[in-house]
Amino acid sequence: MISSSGRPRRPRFRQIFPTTLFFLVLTASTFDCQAARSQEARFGDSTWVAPQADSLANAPPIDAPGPRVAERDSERSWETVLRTPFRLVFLPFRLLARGLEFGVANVGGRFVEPKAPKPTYGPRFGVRFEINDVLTGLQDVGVGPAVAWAPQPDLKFRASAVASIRDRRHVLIRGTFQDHRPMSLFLDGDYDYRPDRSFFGIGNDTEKEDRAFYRLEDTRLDGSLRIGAHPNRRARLVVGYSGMSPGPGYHRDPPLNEVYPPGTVPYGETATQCLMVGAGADLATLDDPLSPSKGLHARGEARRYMGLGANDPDYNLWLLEGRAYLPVFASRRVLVFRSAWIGVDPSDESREFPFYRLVSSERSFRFPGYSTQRFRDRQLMLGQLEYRWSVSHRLGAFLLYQAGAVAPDVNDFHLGDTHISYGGGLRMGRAEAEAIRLEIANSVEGVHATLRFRTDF
Amino acid sequence: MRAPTFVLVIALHLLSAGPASGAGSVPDSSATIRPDTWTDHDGRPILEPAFHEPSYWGQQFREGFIEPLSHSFDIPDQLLDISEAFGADPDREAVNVNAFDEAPNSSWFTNRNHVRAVSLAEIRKGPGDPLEPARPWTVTKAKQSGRTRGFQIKDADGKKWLVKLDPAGFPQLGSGADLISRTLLHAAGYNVPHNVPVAFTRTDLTVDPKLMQGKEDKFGEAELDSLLAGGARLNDGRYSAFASQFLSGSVVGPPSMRHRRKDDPNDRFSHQHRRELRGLRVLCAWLNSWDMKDQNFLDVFVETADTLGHVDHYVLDVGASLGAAAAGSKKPWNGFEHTVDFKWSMRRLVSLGFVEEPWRKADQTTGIPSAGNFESAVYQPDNFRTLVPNAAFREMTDRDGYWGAKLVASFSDAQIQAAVEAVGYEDPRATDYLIRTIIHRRDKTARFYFDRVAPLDFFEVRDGSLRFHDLAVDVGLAEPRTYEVRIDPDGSGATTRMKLGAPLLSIDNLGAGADRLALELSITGSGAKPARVELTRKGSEWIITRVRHG
Repeated sequence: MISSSGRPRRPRFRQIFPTTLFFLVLTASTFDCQAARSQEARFGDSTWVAPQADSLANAPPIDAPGPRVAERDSERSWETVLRTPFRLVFLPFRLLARGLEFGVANVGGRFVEPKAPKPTYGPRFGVRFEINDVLTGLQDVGVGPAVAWAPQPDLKFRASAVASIRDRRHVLIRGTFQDHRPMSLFLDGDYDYRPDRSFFGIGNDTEKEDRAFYRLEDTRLDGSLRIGAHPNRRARLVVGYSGMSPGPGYHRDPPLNEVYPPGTVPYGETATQCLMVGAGADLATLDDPLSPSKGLHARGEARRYMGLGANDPDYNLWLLEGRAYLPVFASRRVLVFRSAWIGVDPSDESREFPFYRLVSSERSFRFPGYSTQRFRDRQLMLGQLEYRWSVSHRLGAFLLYQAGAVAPDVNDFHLGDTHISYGGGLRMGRAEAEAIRLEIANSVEGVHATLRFRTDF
Repeated sequence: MRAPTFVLVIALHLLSAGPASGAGSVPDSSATIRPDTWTDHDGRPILEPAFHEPSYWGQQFREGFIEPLSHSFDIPDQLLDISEAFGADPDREAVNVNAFDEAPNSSWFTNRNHVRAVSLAEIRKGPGDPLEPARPWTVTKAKQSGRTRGFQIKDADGKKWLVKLDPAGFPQLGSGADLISRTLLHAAGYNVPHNVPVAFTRTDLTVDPKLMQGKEDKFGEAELDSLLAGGARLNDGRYSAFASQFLSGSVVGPPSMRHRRKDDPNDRFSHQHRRELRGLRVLCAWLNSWDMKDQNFLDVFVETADTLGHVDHYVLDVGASLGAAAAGSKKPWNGFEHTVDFKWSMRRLVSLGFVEEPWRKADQTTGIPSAGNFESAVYQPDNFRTLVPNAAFREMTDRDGYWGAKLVASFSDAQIQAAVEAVGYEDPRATDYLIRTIIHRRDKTARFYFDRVAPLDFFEVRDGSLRFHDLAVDVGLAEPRTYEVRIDPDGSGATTRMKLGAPLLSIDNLGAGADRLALELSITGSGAKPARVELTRKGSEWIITRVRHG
């Protein structure tokens, strides 16, 4: 019995009467109840006054002397007895939780809800940490100074220098002018000295057991003119310099020259320097840049590297990539297709090509089921299918299937030679076109987990 | 303090029961205890406590992440949960209830509408004087905390106010929700600040010259224009906002919803075990006040004599309620899920995203900018979730829930209508929709809890009979019905049973010779937990000495 206002109507007298009459007969104690009730206000009416209202009306104010309603509360004794052993055992976890809370209390807001940066600021000094190979055991940590400076509202610089316990030396310089404007300039410098890079040979059939370590001193300085405000809809014109100097590795065994005798690895101990010009573009139409559920994303890149010395190679590097997002009956469930083809194309096919300038299954082109990411050659192709779904408001989960391979030439790719990975993980959109991904994938080489903090996929 | 000693102190602190530890700095043993009191005298003179504001992010992390996670792995908690399946009742009841199962008046709460209906005139007027900030206003500070755009002003009378703008495109959304929720919460018994919806023009504002000269956070006319550009405008072009008068007294920070304030000797009950804070969950569910974190409450020290005074506790900010959020209509999941909701996250994960949450089933879009996303069809009070878990809400038992539902059910249609009409919505659709939806949600809230705990209440002995009200019948949620009473004279265990055809029991002939009567009253055919009443003979009369619901 619901009234137009949504509240059930009060029962009518005609409906109440027979029932009331029956109970009047049934129970002598209710003899005068209807008469009494008819005079009483009903709870919920605008005229309601409870029997206790007078006690309350005469109640003294709270700051007058008077009693308290109960003793100070404390934990029940039996509960203390029950909980104390567990409190003792789990004390380290409680300390850890308090420590985490303290950390979040002091720096959490900076990451979760960063304050809008002020348009200009003088040099700000800080510390940069680098942790490498977290999920495979904490193998290397580094620390060093960092500085950020915005001399003008649209001109910003960042620089950091990190030295690690395994002698990695990493210097980063970033400069942006008019970022997020239709036309912007970027300066990107990177010096990365690392004595323990892995090498397993060249080709699609390399073995885990053939691992050796080499040192690489990688110096890169790029300048780019970017047209387009958003990373997903932007064209780039790039010029730059690239210098790479390899050598036998140290800190981890065996070094490169012990497994691969000199001469067996192209440019095994020979440095190269190149100048580069190139162009590229990202063209996307997506409903959400952080967690797209519908749309297409195409990416292309072409670069020309010109050797500075007689021994330095001239080559082209190119990349083609396409992604498609298709909702599965709702935007929170998405099928994602991705295919990528990247390669280097030396001008002089008859000459050897530096092994460290080949493309490899690393970074965006990694094969997630393989822990070593060892596949390296002139060309790499991969196809990936993901089913993504929303788990929390920013967190998503995914199942993935990927097939990837490397080859010296496009004609050398064969379906049967592909490396298959399948698994799943968690993904959280982080910045305008970046995400954090935890991948757990299986392959013929077992299960492998990877945590990536900055991926655009 | 040497390091080992320091570690030992920290360890002992952590080993102790969190909520129960942290005693006040001054022992409060002088007050007598009277379980039947209607006033808990917690306003006795004390020195001003220190200002304390916990880290917003630390508190969010703890309540939203650490506490739910640690509860999941807490073996005693799990054992206690399992014991419930075997009939045990390990839940801890609220500690500050009086003998009649009510929260007595205190610095937190004053019994109002469910005891004596607040008049429609008072509802329309709201708490305090019908005061608005006198024009012109001088902007003294830009609002720096929270997501709502706003600024602090000093009005022509020198009074300080905080002005919060409604988001652009949503005139009267936040200000309306705040006024309605605040009015109803105040009528229910809670302390709230004096907020008024305001409409103003740019010419009403000037910027304090001191603010314009600030080096770090310079705020001038241009910055004010920029701020106002994100605000909503009414049809006549005026800005839509609400002004909140600064509370009189000295602000000492937000109270924890978990612990008591250590330096307030009057504050003797862990906040998570306070009835009015636990029961507030039900009122918040009703009003969809989905952002009830610690920082939306405030403690204010009120000086009463010399430097002494007491702390009053306020529900500070209920703007994020009904269909409103700071930036516009609330997100669909607000009020249905925590920010980090382990239960729903796990369900989504396991189902590959195919589980359908209640908020997806709900048609929340009203199409009325002033009403936002608000519905009643899918609403279920026990499905209500605040943005970050509230420690007191989590401890709520059926008894607390029943008490909260009683407060909700006490509001008549006319009172709700008065509270909504007080906003003066430009869009008449908003008024009609909100009245209808709030009434519907009230009925669903009351029905839910009245089905769990028998709503037999307001007992009194009159003319040789024990009389009571069946609240569900009174508010029209149930037809008149019969009751069963189990009588235990003198607590001997030898019980007799009776049936009642009406909420009235003649007790003259009961317990002849006995000094005490224990009654258990239930509704015939209902699974709701019974009400228990104890009567004691005083001379020739019986008086009610104890009531427990559920």
